[in-house]
Amino acid sequence: MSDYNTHDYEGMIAETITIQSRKGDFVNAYIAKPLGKGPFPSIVLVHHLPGWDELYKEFTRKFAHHGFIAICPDLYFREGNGTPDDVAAEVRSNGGISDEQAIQDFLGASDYLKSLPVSNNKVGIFGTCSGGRHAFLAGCSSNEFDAIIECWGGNVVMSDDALTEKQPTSPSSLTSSLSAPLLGLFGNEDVSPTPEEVNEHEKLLRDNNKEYKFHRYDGAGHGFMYYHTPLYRQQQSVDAWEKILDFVSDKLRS
Amino acid sequence: MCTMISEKASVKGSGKKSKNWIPLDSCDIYYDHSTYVDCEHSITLSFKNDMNPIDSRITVEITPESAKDIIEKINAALRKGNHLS
Repeated sequence: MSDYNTHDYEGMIAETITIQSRKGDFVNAYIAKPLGKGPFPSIVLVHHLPGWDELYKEFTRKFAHHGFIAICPDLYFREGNGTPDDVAAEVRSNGGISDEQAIQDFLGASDYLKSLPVSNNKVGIFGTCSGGRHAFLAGCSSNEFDAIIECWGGNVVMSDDALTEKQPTSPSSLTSSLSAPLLGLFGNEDVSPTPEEVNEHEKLLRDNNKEYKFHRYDGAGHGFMYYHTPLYRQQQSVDAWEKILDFVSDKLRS
Repeated sequence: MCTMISEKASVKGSGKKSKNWIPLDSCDIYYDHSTYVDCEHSITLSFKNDMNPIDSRITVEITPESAKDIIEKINAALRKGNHLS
């Protein structure tokens, strides 16, 4: 993590913008950009199943605070307008969003980031929960990203009977196509993914000679970085953020 | 990842949203990580009017134990009131 000195000047611009998905249509996105001429590395944030919420906008600004241009597309934009909770409930009621559509939105977000004059053309992708799964899937489905951060991505390892029209492929089956270094963070008390599923995920990475780092926390379950929920685990969360920021600095600043 | 354990029930009823009653057509029921209630997983009941499925939602989140107790008490109330309908 970069050092923070109290006399350092800092500032950012954070706002809602519209970006074009590679699908061709337009969706909202929240972007946070450090002030300055850069060049800055970039991060696409993939929000979790509870939606495009305040937490993810805070995460977006956190990356900008540490010197990254960060963007978080609203993956549920097409489902309608309302509070994040209510929109997410409607998405859930409709069986979720398709993997293919989500990937097209991430690629559109990356296109936008790389078009900025202050970009250093390196882009990472970060996600938690369903967003962790999506981040890994994006890294296996394209060569667009230079670093992948998967936080407790459940259903990365899927059995055939869990596949659906919207989730037609188990991300783990695409491991050989992973195109960037991966950081994985997991809680050992999680039930999705279970430690056994994380073992299987790691075995596939190892068997395919992929560059990865996994950190598994005792005393933590799912969502241990969600400070606004009962899932929060303070020490594990602080350590995880240090590992995330060290990883993206290493992979995206050089 | 959060679960996609979700069920949907048809509803003929009404609910109070802020100061006004609104007609309700269905209820999404899901089992997932808690948003607010202090437990790992909870049952969420999200009632809605299908003509306005986002803004109309009236949602409660309860522990699985509370859900079981409510099911039991609803059945008890139905048994007691059955002769009136």
